[in-house]
Formats: sequence, structure tokens, C-alpha cells
Amino acid sequence: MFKNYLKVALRNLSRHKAFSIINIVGLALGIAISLTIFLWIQDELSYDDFHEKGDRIYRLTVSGSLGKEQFNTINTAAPTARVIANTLPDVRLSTRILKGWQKQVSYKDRIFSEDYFQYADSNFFQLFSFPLLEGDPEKVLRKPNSVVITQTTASRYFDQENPIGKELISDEGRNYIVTGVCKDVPNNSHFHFDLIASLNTFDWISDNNWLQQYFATYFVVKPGCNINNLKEKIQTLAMQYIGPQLEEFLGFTVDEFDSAGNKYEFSLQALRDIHLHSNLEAEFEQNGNFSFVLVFSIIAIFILFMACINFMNLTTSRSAARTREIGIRKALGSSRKQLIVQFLTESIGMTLLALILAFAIMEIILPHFNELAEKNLVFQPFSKWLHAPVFFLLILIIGLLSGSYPAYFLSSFSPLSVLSGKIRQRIKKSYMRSGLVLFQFAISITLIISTINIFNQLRFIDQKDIGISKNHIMVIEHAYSLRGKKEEFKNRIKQHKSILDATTSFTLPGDRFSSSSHHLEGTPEDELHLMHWIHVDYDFISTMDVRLKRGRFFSKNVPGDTLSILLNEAAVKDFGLDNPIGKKVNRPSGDEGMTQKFTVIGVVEDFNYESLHRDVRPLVINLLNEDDYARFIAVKIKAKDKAECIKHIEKEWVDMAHGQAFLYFFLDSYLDRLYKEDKQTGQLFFIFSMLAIFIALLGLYGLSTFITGQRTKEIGIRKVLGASEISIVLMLWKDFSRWVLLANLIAWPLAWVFLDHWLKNFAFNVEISLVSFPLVAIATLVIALLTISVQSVQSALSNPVEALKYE
Amino acid sequence: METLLQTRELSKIFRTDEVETVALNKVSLDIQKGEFVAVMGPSGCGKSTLLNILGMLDNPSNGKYFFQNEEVSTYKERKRSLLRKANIGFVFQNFNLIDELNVYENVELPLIYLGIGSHDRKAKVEEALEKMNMTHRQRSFPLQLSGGQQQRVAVARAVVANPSLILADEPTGNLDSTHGEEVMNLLESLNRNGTTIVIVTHSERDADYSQRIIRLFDGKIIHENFFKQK
Repeated sequence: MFKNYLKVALRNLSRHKAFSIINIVGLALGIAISLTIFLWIQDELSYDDFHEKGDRIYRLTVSGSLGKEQFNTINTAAPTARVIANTLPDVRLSTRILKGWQKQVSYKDRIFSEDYFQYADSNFFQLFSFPLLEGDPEKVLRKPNSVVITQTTASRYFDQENPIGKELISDEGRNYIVTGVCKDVPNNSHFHFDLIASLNTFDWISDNNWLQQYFATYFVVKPGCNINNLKEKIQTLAMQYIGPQLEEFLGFTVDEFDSAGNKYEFSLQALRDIHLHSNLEAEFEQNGNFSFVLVFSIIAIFILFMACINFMNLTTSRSAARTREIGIRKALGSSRKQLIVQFLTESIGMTLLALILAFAIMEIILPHFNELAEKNLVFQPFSKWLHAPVFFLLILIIGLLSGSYPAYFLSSFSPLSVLSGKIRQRIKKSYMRSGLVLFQFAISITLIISTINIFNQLRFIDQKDIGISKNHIMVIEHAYSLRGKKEEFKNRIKQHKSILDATTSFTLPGDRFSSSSHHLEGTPEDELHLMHWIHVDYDFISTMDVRLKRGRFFSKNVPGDTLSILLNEAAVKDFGLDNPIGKKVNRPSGDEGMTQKFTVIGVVEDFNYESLHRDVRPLVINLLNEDDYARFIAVKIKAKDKAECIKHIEKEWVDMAHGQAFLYFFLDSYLDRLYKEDKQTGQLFFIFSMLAIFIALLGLYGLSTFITGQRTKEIGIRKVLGASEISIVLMLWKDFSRWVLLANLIAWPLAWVFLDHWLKNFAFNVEISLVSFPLVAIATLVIALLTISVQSVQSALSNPVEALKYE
Repeated sequence: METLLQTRELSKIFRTDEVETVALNKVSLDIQKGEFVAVMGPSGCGKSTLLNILGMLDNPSNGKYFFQNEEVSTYKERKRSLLRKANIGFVFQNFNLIDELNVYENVELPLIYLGIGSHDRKAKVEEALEKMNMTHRQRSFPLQLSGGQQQRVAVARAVVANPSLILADEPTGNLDSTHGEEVMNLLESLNRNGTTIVIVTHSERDADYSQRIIRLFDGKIIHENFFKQK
């Protein structure tokens, strides 16, 4: 009996090849995509789950406001970790990490640029579980200038040599002794390091300054510790230390600080919540986003569900054409149970085929997905014994789900009614069926409209005048390597006719900016304004084309410009000034108890030094002296001579930079970095909308096959009565158009709400394109009609005699 | 009498991959305007095929078919459709009403395809329904009607456009004798008013209503009864 089922099933598959292929491929694609998304979700949820003490590790964060500026950062002051661990019994262990900066590290003739060079306290390896292959976790970071490197890093520098005790040399002139080798940091860690050195390498870190914040602080708490209580204890404790320093350095008490509307608050983040729930200033890396995980879970389930529904629709529409077979089988004595088993066997068999195909599809798409999502997801369906039953269950569920309708429904009729074709009339229009296709279209249309508008915004970001010229600006890194000869270097490269200008600076637009509280002379003591500052040299505005609004820029001819500053318009507004020129502004300096006094000499037009996600915030521009520490030299070049310019600059660099490698980037691509996540969103939306429309069309194809099949008789009668082919096609189109247009009406508000929400992420954004709505409506209508045309034209052209004989 | 349709050596051959079936074999016949003709014969003798060709639902494989002296056997579907909807009404054994449309709408359908305005349509539909005594059920759907009622609706639909020819394929095949008789009486009365009627039937009783019986066997005319006069 089973052999007979199999035979009929296979013959059915091969007789309707196009149908079978569409059906199986559709389901396979749905499974593959949703499995891929589930892999991604699993990875996102697994962050930092490898630390043994993970459920008891917390990170300290600080939030608050100073003047009108808000801050919310992971950076804490140096003494915080120590004082809290020593004073509060709930805290077992605390460690600090200092985010390192890119540097070049060499061993003998091997030089690498290291992006993940961090610093940490000596108990780092006791708190976190990064297994050491060499070295004692309690000792490796105890001494200054010790460094622990990862396995991969070790093989980069030392191949087979034993790295322990070897000396690595950094381009800042420090030497580090390798004291340990640890396993590579797993991908699903919220921070990474290739090298991690002892924090006591820097002698300034044990200081008692509570007002300067550089460190990420982590705690292990006692089991069963009440985190809310602990948070309050930390707050009280820390303010005892911060208070006196506020008074000493800034000249007012905590109460005055509070009553002026300022705030300073500590919070604790559970380690495992960091990746998906934290998006603060100074994060180690771009974290994930829990709403993305939610949205993608929904999308994955939706895709899988839709693929199943379509599979069911298509299968049912085929089985309706098999009523004769059912009737004959019944007349010949098949029981209802046997028929149900037969249909379920078929659908489970097809699901199995689809799953195998899905695995093959995943092999193809996973590398591309990894590239897009910047992941290293691996799919090994049978790597764990656990997987087999999961997939078995998946096949069973999808197979049963999609086979149940034809199985139970069609097998329930008496053989005579099946044979006489009467049940055709009873498989009525199903609103459920149409409703699901409607739903699929609504989702697709929402996605398509969103995609169009997301790309609009991305293009806007690309083309917006941000107040500086970002094109054809080449930026050379490690400007400090020139020591005190930055001006000379600039002059030498400017000899080239295509090099128009050059400027030295500590930070650049798109980079992270430091901020300090500023005080305008003549206003109350406690009226502080948190403002970003930037140090640039004399050629900054000419190189970057920053527009001067009032006053003057720094000039070589005016001595003492070191104590001059320029403000941007936002800063002028923040201070509430009408005529800022000549005003005095104070800033507490890094040195204890010192305050610098500056005079405002000019105002520049606002330029977007941060991403367009935010408004332009207040900025103070300081003069960078020849001897000051500088990181960048930005060079304006003529586009057409780019290659030649680079060659020329490199030559001068090699000549002057004391062996520092020549590293550079272009400002426009540097700024693009700020929108990486937005671009990923755009790409994902593009992919998902293509996929959704594909699935929706598949569903529509199934529905049109089904409905057209049901209306064969009606179409025949109409043709006998004189209906033309065109009128038949139009009649079918009209029916389906209704659904597509209704889907648009559902989708429009959804897309609007989503886009409104998404665009609010940007302080500078485009209007939602109203044209995109009707445009997408027309487009979806056209492709929907093309899809059903296959069916409708075929049935319109068919000989009515055939259709009527069919009955 | 005027000739309505003529066939000359009409053949219809159905081919599948391996089998060739001759459904009609050189059939020649003439039907005059106003005649009531019954086509009889055993199952598979080609009755329905002949009727489909006469109704221009299908083209013959060979031979000629003159409809109102116009050779139509090579016409394409579009042209056949034009002739068909203007001149021919159909009645089927299984009624072939559209389930989604009510009685009124079913009867109205041929008029829509003829492009007749809605005002005129209303009058004609009502007239046809009245003739068939179905006015009281005009808002009902086919599945709510008895077989006899459905067939009366089908006949109403067949006559609503006032065709010169009505082709009926076993019109009483799915009806009991009372309802069958009712339908045959309707057809007869239409015939009396000048409509040419060709029916295909197994029933000698139905055939009794006709003026002439054509008997088919294996796709050939084996007997034509010209003597039957009412």
C-alpha cells in the first residue's frame, strides 16, 4: 500500500514538474531564510554566555546631565572600581578595562597594526573567563608592561616559537613582555582584544581623580546580591568622594550642583544584557539591538509560516484536481484513514525534499549573510545529536500542517459526490486563503515602501552639505610621528600642485570628541555647559572649508592665540550670547585644580562633526600647537591627481615620520562609517522585501491556481454565452486586484508609522516620500497581475467544451 | 422553408498520443428554420460532438459547416463567439448555471455579453423569466433551486437573447419525468413561436416532441426520420 502511495506521489510530482518545483523551492527558500535568521538570533542571544561568573558580573555606567547636555557613558573614573570593591561587601571582585587605541606593534621584522590592543587590571582573567593556554591568570597582568596575547596573535608574531618572555615593541616607544597566551576571544563577546596589557603600565592610573572618566568598570557580586540596593550604595559611596573634588576643582558643592539641575548617576548593567540592551557612549564595539532581535524573530517566523501556508495552498489546489483519484480510491474500498495517510505521506515527503534543498540553499547564502551581518555563523545541521529530532519535528510539523487540509477535507466526501464532481462546488471561496495572501502582500508592500524611503534617507545622508567638504580629503594617521615637524611636513607636501591645503588636528569630524564642562565668565558659578572640544591648527577652516560666521580664525600673526577659542553657532546659542566675540570662557584643565581661561575670537557656522543622527552640538575650537600631540593630518587634494598625490605624500612621510608606516584614509568613507548600521538596515530591508514579495507572489500563484481551477466551469459557461478572452482575463484580474489594493491600504499606515519612527533616529532627515506609496501600489498590482496571468490567460484561452466536460 | 444550417461531410477526429478516435465521420445534414430536430444514438456515437460543432463551440476536423449560408468551419474563436452569442442559445444536461450568480443575473449574462443596455436587459430578463414561470425565484441562487427549476432558468437564459437556434444537450437527463416534461413543453412552445431547436437525447419520449429524428452510430448518420409530423 505504501509503495502505491509513493508511486502515485512521485508520478504526481513528475507529471506537474513546474508546480512541484515552485512548491518545493518556495518552501525550501522559506526554511533556509528562517533558519539563517534563527542562527543569527541564536548568536545574538548568546553574547557573553561563556563567562563562568557571567550571571554575577555587572558593568558600572554613569549617566546624568550637565547644563543642557546629557551624558550616558560606560566610562568611569579611575578610583571607582577599587573604592567600591574595598568598601562594599556585596562586591567580590572588580576590574577595569581601558580601551586602547590603534598602534603598530613589532617583533623583530614583523610589524602589525593592532586595532584591538586593550589594557586591564591584573585580576582581569580572574573575573572574565578567557582561558589561558600559557601563564597564570592571577599573575599575567600583575607587572607593568606585561601583555597577554591571543592564540592567533601569538602565531602572527611568533609562529611556532614560545611567545612567553618575548618582547613586543609598540610605536609609542613602549615595550611589552608577553606573559600569557589565551584562547581567541569568542565572536560573541561584547568586547574583543588581540593583545591585553597591564593597566599599571601607566603610572597615572591609580590617581584619585573622580572627575575624569576613562575606564570600563566590571564587578563580580556576591550570589543573591540585591542589585538595586547595591546601586544605591554605590551612588552614596561615590558621591562621598566626588563631592569634595567638585568643591575643590569647580568651586561648588554637590547640593549646588544638584540644585542647578545637574545630575550624576550610577547604574549597573548585567554582563549578558550589554550586547543587546546597551548603547551608551564609549562602548567598546557597536552593540546589537534587542528590537532587531525581536523584529527578526517575527520576520523569521513569518517567513516560515508563510512558506508553509503557500505550500499548503498550492498542495490543496492540486489535490482539488485529484478528486477523481480520491473518488476512485474510495469506490474501490480505501478507507478515509488510508487516504489521510496517503496525503500526509506525500506532504511529509515533499517537506523532506524541501528541507534537504534548504540545507543546500543555506550553504550558498550563509557566507553572503555573514558578510552582510558581520558574523561568523556556521551551519552544521547534524553536528549535534540534538539537531536530528529538531529537524524531524520540523518536517513533521510542516508536513502535517500543509498536508492536513487536503487530507482531512477531501477524504471526507462520499465517493459518489467526488466522482460526480459535486464537491468542487463545495470547496468554496476561502476567505482564510485570500486573507493570508492579503496579509503577505500587506507585509511585502510595507517592506518595499520602507526600503525605498530608507534608501532615500541614505542618499540624503550621502549628499547633504554637512558644512565641511568631505570629498577629496585624505587623512594621514599617526601625525605625532612627525614629532615637532608637522608644519614642515605640510609645507613639503604642499609643494605638489595638486595638493591644495593641509591641516593638523587631534580629532576629526566623525571621530569621538572629548567633552568638558565650560563656564562663561559673568554667569553664576554653577552654570556649567558640557561642550565638545577640538584642537586644530591654523589651516583647519581653509582645508575643510568650514565657514567663518563672525570674528576671525586663529592667526600665526597673533601671538597668544593658544588661549583663544572659536565657538560654533550651537555653542553660542547654548551660552545664550548675542555678541560672543571677546567673551571669556573657563574650562577646568586636566591638571588638578587648574582652570584655563579662553577668549572667544570667532564663530564658525555649524558643521556636522557627529553623525546626522544628532543635531549639531556645541563645539569649542582650540588651537593645536606645533608641539601638541596630534593624530591626523587632513590633506585637500585634486581628485584627478589622487594617485600621484598619495605617492608624493608617502615619499615625504617616509622621509620624515621616523619609521612609522604610512596609513591613511579618506574622510568621506570615514564618515560613512557612522551610517554603517543604517546601511545594513537598508540592505536587510531590501533583501527581506524581495523575499517577502517572492513569497507573496508564490502565495498568489497558489491562490490563483486554486481559484481559477474552481472557476473553470464558470469560465466555460461564460465563454459559451459569448464572453471574450479579454473579458475573462479582466474578470479574474479584477478579483485579484481588489486584494492587492486592499493590501496596499493596510500596508500604507504600517509603513508610515515605521518610517516616521525610523527617520526620527536622524536629526537631519528627508520627508517620507508620498509618491512612493502609489508607486508601490502600481508596481505590486502589475507584478501580481503578471503572476496570475499565467493562470488566467490559460483558462481564458481554453476551449469551453473542455471546461464543461470536466464537470 | 429556409435552410438554417447545413453540414457537408463533417468529420471530427480526436487524437491523443497513441489513439485516434473518429467521433464524427462525414456527417451531412440540413436543418431548416423552425424545425425541431432530435439527435439520438448510443453513448459515444458522436451526438454531443455534433452538437458542439453545430453550436460553434468546436471546429470540425474536416468538412464544411454553413450557418445561415455562411461557411463557419474555419472561423477562429473570436468570430465564432460573435455568431454564437447573437444566434444560439444552449441548454445543458447539468444546467451549467453559475453558482455565484442568482437567477436573474444568470439569465442576464448573455445580454451583457451582447452589449445590451441595462434598461433593455431588465425588460428582456423579466420577459424570459415570466415565460419560464420563474419570476418569483429571480433572487434565488442556483443551489437553492430544484433541478427542474434550474433547468427552467437555463432555458430562460438560452432564450433571453432571442436566438434563432437553441441547442439542448440531454436537457431532461438530470430531471424526473414531471420536470422533464415541463422542460420539453417549454421547448416545444418556443419552437411553435419559430425558434429552431436541436436536442440530443437518449429518451424516446423527448424525441417524440421533435419533428425529425436523426440517429447516429459510430459517428455516422444511420437513419433520418423525415416522416414524423406533428
